[in-house]
Amino acid sequence: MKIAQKNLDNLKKFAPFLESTTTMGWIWIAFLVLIIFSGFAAITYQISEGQIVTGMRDYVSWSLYKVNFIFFMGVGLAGALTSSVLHLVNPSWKKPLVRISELMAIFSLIIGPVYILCDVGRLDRLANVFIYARLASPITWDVIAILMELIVCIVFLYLGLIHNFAILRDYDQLKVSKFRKRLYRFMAINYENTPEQKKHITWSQNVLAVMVIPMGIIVYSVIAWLFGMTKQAGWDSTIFGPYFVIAASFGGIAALIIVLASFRKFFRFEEYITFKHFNILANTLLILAFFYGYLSFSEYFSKWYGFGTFNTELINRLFDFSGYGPWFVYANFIAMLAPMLILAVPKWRTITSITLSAIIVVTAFWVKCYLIIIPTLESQHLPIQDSRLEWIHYTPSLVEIALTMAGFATFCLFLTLAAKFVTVLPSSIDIEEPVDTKL
Amino acid sequence: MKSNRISTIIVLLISMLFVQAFSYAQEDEAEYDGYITKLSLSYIKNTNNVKTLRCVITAKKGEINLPLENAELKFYAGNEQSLLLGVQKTNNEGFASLDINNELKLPQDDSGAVLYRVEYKGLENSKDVTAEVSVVDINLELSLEEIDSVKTITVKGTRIGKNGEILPVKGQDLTIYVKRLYTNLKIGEINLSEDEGIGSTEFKSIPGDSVGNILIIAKIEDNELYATVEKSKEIKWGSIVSYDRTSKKRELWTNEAPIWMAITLAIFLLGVWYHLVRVFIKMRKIKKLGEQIEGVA
Amino acid sequence: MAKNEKSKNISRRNFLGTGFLLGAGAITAGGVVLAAGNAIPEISGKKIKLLTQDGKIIEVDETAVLDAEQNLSEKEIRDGIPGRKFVMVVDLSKCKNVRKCISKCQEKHGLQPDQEFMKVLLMQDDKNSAPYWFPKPCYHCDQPACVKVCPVDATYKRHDGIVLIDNERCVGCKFCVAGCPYSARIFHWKEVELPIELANRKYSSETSVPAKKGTVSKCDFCPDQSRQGKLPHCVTACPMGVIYFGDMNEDTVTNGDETIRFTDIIRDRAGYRYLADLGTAPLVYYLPPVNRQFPFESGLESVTDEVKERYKNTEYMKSKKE
Repeated sequence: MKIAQKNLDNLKKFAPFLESTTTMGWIWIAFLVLIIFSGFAAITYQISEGQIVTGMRDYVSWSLYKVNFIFFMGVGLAGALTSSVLHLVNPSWKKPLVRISELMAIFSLIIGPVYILCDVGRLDRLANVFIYARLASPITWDVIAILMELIVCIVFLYLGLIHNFAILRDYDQLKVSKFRKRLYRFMAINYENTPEQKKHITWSQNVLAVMVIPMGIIVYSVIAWLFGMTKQAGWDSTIFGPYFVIAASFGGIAALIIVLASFRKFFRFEEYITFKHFNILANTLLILAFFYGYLSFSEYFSKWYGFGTFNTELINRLFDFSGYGPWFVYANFIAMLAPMLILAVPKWRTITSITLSAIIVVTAFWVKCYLIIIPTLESQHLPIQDSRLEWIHYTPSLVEIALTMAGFATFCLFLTLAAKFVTVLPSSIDIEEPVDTKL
Repeated sequence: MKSNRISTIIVLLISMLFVQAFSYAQEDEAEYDGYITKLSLSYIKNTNNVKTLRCVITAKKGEINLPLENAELKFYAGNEQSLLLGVQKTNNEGFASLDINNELKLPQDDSGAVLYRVEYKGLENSKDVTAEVSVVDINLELSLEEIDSVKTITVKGTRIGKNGEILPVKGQDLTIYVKRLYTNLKIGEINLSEDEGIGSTEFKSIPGDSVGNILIIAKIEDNELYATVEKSKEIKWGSIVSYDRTSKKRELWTNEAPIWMAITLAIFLLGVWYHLVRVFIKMRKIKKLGEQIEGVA
Repeated sequence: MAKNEKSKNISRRNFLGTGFLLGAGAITAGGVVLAAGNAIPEISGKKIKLLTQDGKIIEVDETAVLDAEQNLSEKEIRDGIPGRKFVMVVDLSKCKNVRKCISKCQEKHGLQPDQEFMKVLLMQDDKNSAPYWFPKPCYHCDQPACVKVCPVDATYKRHDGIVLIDNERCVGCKFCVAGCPYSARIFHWKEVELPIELANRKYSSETSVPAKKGTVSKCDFCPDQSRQGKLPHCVTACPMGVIYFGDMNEDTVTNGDETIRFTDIIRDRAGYRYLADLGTAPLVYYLPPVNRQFPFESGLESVTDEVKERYKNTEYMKSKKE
């Protein structure tokens, strides 16, 4: 029985994405590859010269790399949470969202840790992290948790794709290379959509979907504890785990909205990704905005109200309008209020306005990551007395900026290429109503 | 506050000689091309009655102070008919020492003092430097006893007179130390009596090693007449410090983390991998099922 | 400071020329003498007392100790010096920012002028309180925030209290740098430049020399010196006798000049630990800056403009300008 026969209409619509690339598509890919290459050049330069080529110094010893790390891990968390929640709740409109959010999660989870590698002074000794692993170090927790999360997410995504591979395998008219055909055949692991096979897949997906939620929360909490376990002003906070999780979900959902809007626009998916999806995500964003605002408020309000020498110094720095002040307002107030203002008024709620507020939220999330790391490191317990300005005040170097851009370019490239390899929007058939299984 | 020069010498000597303290030192200087060659001589008689002459030679100009290595130093005893005691070369810290042969009969002056001299001849156009120190040889007797359950340190000072008679060292102050890792810790002072030359002080509790051993030192330092003389004895008077090195607790900062962390991690990993393995088995089953169908078709 | 260093080097070279005329082998010796740091003194037959693993004092020949020092096993280094518990006491009433501790430390550890294991900060608790000079080494905490977070056990707490770094294991994640609340750690951002005699040495955690690019270093309390019965370099370099160092088990600290009981001085002078409320339990104690031996201002007299520049954002310097 050829599965593809059932899905011919759908396949015909999606096949062009898999078979060929437009000129604009090639230019886009070339552009991304160029940025990624500049990132490669930057990291090569950094490895040969040492981290002196970054803006980091002895006081601000973590910077953009860590910012991007927590940013991408946050997006990854939101993607993973969304897709597993959708899988478990199984609403009728879920189809266009699940695979995109799952892909977004995996690519973020792959790019995030690369920034840690950029941040490490001795890449040649990376094996030590496994050879001499110390269980008490949050970095060890991170390494273990992220690796587990990545494995679980990849398996989860793969399970959802098996049916898709089987369809592509059986679709004779698909004009792709023989190698790709063979790859589809291999990836489809003889899937024929029999009830028994379907049962196995659904069981596995359910199990992993249930696992992804706590694991995602654990992973991101552990990342928060890279900071929360220290004694530094601003980091020494008991709510850092939950705060990070909420902030990441908030920023990550916004990222998902942007990714969906991009696919809708550039891949002409208007038919599949509709206002309904944006509306639901906007509601989620709104709810998360409240949570985010609440946690931000309780975090900084209690720090400000309860003062304490070091916290006061940090708060003064964050509230200083000749310094971080505007950014602090952007990341904490505007990010929270923008979705509320735009989305709360039904008349203003359009796909464009939702995407716009999502852009505000995503950028604010990145700025938030920046504000969590750098101002704290500039507010040490002991006064920083140094005649060198770059040691007192951090400014990102070109190398760091190049690598930051390379990360975002990689993210876009991965999504673009994924859309060339599988049907990013599952057709109505290849995700079927799950069979009832007990976990 | 002490004068700068003395403090420099003290720091210099301590850093170079890592000795407990240094004996009464005399110095001589010669100037050449702005460099001042400085020679210092000190005398120390240790607990085994070994008398040692110690020398440090340095060249100084402004901020720079360098030890002279491999400098040949001649040691003499006596004033008019001086007796050559030996020749030593300095090490890379500008330091040289000479143990005086106790068999030698050293020329004494009327007061019973011996004049020691050290000479350094520079090149032709630089001045010689010499340093001298005059010392009366004395002996210290150190006895450690518990008198009425009071730990008492008693010191008696004697010297040999011109005719070989034993005379008390009267009225001399000396210091009682215990040996410590870097330096000696002063724990008391003794004034030798004007009649018999005996003095004593009470020993108060202080940490020793793991069995309570402690090295007690009685010392006259940098004295104009007697230079430096010391006598030491080890005794189990120190309070016992236990060095428990076997206990290897699991703490956050030890190599092995607290046990509950390991357990938590194990539960986490087991839970994840149990389910992952089951999923992998299911995937195999899917593959097998597919093979069967294809086989049938 | 950099300027100072340079002129010193030049005049040293001058001396080598003059040394030839001065004769007495000082010429051939000159180079070696300048590198005196790693040379072994030729005093033979001198006995020194050592504490054994089980805490007993034994007497051994000094040369034996020095030989052993160069061939310490990894385990011996990680265990620390048997029976010791090192402690430092900094007398703030004596410090006048002479910065000899810094320069000596930099020389012995092959640090660049802008790298400091020991810092001297201008401290003033608030506008109305008295300013004072504050030497700050690594505190070698008993509950070290840096050691906790190290993922590879490259930095470790020894039985003798010292916290060291293994530069050959460190992966350079900089977590310890960010985690240390006292900003005690420095990172080698670029290739390490060292004088040849330091660069050729076999690496030991106890000397922190030669350091390596992409790893972390910090004040090490000079355990290599202690193994020879010598005080750390900063202690001996200080002309004011500000820094006392010693063994808590012996209850004794010394600045080389004056030797006192640790408990006595802490009790009599109201010694305290800086920011002890962080729970890190530092091994460095401070004696409050009361009954100063020097006016505070004297600390600004001998320093270079570069150093003065460092203090420009402090309340004290701002108020002075007005």
